[in-house]
Amino acid sequence: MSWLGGWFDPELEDLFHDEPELLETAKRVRASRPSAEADPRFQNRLRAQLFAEASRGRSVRGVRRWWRLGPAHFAWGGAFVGAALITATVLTFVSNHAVDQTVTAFSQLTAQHSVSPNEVITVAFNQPMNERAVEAGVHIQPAIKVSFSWKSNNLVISPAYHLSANTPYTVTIAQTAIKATSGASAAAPINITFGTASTPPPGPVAPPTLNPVVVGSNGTGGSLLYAPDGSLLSTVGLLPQSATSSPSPSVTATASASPTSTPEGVIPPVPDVPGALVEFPRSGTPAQIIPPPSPTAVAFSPNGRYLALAVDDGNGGSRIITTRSDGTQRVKLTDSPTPVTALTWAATNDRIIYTDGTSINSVDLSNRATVLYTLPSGSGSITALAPGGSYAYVAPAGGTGGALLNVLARTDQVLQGAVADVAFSGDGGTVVWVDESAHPARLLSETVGQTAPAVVPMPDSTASPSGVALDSSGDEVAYLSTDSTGVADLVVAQLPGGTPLAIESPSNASQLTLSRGGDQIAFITNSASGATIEQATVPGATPKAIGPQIPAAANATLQRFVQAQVGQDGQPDVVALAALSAPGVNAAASTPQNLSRAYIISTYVASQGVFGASIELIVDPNSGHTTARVASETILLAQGGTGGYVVTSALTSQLRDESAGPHVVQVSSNTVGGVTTLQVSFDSDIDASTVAGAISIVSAAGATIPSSAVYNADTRTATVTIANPPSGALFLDIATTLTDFEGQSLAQSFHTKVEAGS
Amino acid sequence: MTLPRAYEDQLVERAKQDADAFGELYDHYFGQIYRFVFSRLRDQEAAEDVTSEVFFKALRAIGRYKPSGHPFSAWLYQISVNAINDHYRSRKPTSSLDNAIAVADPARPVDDRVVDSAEAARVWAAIDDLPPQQRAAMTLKLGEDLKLAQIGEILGKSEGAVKLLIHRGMIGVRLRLGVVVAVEDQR
Repeated sequence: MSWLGGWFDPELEDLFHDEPELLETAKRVRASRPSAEADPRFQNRLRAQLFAEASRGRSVRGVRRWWRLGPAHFAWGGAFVGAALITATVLTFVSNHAVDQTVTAFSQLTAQHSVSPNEVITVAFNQPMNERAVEAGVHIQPAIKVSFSWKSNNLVISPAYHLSANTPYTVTIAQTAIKATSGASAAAPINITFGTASTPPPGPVAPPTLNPVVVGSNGTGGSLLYAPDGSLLSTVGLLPQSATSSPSPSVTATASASPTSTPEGVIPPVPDVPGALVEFPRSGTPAQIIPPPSPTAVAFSPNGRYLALAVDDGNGGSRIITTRSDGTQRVKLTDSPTPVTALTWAATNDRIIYTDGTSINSVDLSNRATVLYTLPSGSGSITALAPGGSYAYVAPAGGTGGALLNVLARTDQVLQGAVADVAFSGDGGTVVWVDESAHPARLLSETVGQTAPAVVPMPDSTASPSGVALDSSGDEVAYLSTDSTGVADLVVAQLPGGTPLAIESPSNASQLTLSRGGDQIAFITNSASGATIEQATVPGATPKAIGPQIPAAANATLQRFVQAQVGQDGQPDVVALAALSAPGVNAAASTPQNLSRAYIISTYVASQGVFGASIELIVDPNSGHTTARVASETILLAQGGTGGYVVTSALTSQLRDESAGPHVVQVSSNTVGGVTTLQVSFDSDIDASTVAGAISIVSAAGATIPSSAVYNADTRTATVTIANPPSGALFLDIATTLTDFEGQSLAQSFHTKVEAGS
Repeated sequence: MTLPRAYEDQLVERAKQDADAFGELYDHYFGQIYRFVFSRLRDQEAAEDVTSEVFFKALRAIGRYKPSGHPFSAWLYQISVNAINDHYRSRKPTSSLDNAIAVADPARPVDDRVVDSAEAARVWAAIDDLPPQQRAAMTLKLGEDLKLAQIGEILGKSEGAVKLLIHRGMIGVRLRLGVVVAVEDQR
């Protein structure tokens, strides 16, 4: 035992003056205290991390002050303790200066693969630098406009807009530019490699409110749904007196109507004629599609051309009928002796699947009826069908035990908790539900067929969710969030992260319904004067390309397949790849290892019933290989034996270094009202003056089709408008005359097939 | 090792807006805080974790900091005491040969250092076992050599209350060390 003979603390001597044994113990404790000299590398790293954190809020938009760190930042700080320091890279350079012999640089982003696109890039040096020289040596690939600022010895690189989501980045500072004011210089360039998360840049800190407008009046009960053209329908809609006509000759109404904003509390003129299935178009007066009685269930076919309805047959059962989407050409398919509570179309557009709560049946357009499944007696009830009809939700008689039923396989999978408010996405690939066994209740989501529920964070963690709705792709959820005082907010949020896109406080809202693309939401508000249908544009949600070119079910398979290729920790999910592939397709063998991310560049119709996709598989750069590597892949999808889509072909190139210059990362198309719009997204900041001249649209016969192109710098997207597209396939060509703001040409000329739609 | 009070107050006020000023505070107090944290945890990795947490919490909260007549270090120590308590809830310190090397004169034989380590571990384990307030007061006094008044500022206690905490803490350490010896003797 080593004693510190010289130690003397007059306060303790005084305190223990009459108790020498306690003073002796104090000396023993004092002598045993550990010596503690911090590792200077840790001290420097922590200083750099604090500076990086401080600089994080100093983005060009200046939304936050740097020290006002939200929960996410604090969580990051905690994560930093465990992980970030470990993964951070300290770059040390030998200098020839006698005083400061090393130049140390550090970036908080190094080797991370899911950096927020709103992040700034901080490079912390250990000594004062020649700032202008360092700035001049900075090069970022893909090229983005940035501004520089310095805090002490730390260089803060702020993107003019934001980093691109789901993108590998390499930040290089040339060796010759790394000059300290002391004269020290570097022996090697600085290479900072990282990748961004796939989520888009978050919106403002406080989610915006919705600005709903009244589109019409509603009867009691019923349901809302969106037509493929974006029109809103109600199964118990009420018509204005002047608009009563049956049936509507077209889904496109000609008269105009000005929706009235709800904040003023104005309700449209007394509309009191029951209309059963009523369409409330984006513009124009409401029109009756189907006369009374109101259908008990209704669904559009996947191709949007037909409606299927279940209506009361007057004898205690239901009649299943189909019509064209405008309500004409009504055809009865079959009678159900019991009331039909839900129906949907098969992905093939030729079969209706319906349920009365105890059995699931199908009827095709040739009137052939089949019993698909009958629930054992006393085992609950079937309350929802997933679009496509492959899955159904079976509610238990009480308590927990609600399950997803695989209709064809006749297997079920219990959903977690006491399940309520089950909702499926339009593509049938995602399911969300409320778990009422938790206090407060919580919102859960999972990919249909996978037992991996995830809690969807809510803005108010003390509130309970209800009234859940999903968009077509399962990327967006709407729900009511009711706090302990009973006040309900309407929340629209992204999935799976739960980031709110908008929050509104309507009175007595119900029947939340999202449009296919998630850019519109409709709901019913109830007051003493009756029920009103309201609709709002969802801020921050861009209409997704849900065109006729690729069915939602095929798109769901495509997304899952690519996700499985990227896998986890650089290893593909071979089990999922096999499950999503047709026999004979060995996707696992052709998938490169160590993938970081993937782009689905475009999708298209390859042939009748076969759909194609162009994909790029990316390996992020790292300290050993500072250029991102890419493999190009073309896959084909077609329906498999069980009715769902599978990958029937996957052709993948070898990995190659990604070429310098801007790259096309996504092309999507949408046709509305005879106008086709292409959205072409890039990973770099583009010279807008080069966009229109470089983009051309060509028909299958080689004729150039007139089009216009406008570039949005904030989203790095060119919008190409084709006013009068010919039917059939078109081709998008982008020449290498398109350049980024630094003058680098498009990495390679781009050519892809696009569908103009019908 | 405290900064002149007027200068420190100005520096803290600037640090609410200026990363450089926060950096100066960090440079000045890092050593103290790390030493205090390490003396409580005696594990380099854990000490680095907790020290990081202390300064990130300080960065997050400095906008709300109001000078109260106490040195800025008192506020940092308060954060440290809480962070250490949080750490203890999930993890207990360990003693190893590495720790032994850290606590004693490296010129002495390794065997002696291991013996020292065992003694140090036992003594400080006894402190770990004290109620939180006693534990904090003992550590600040015997680990950091702070004045009773400073400890009172950090813990929000009067000087007399701090004396009482240290007195009871010392008795508690003796009891715990005595119990350990008695149990060992019976074996």
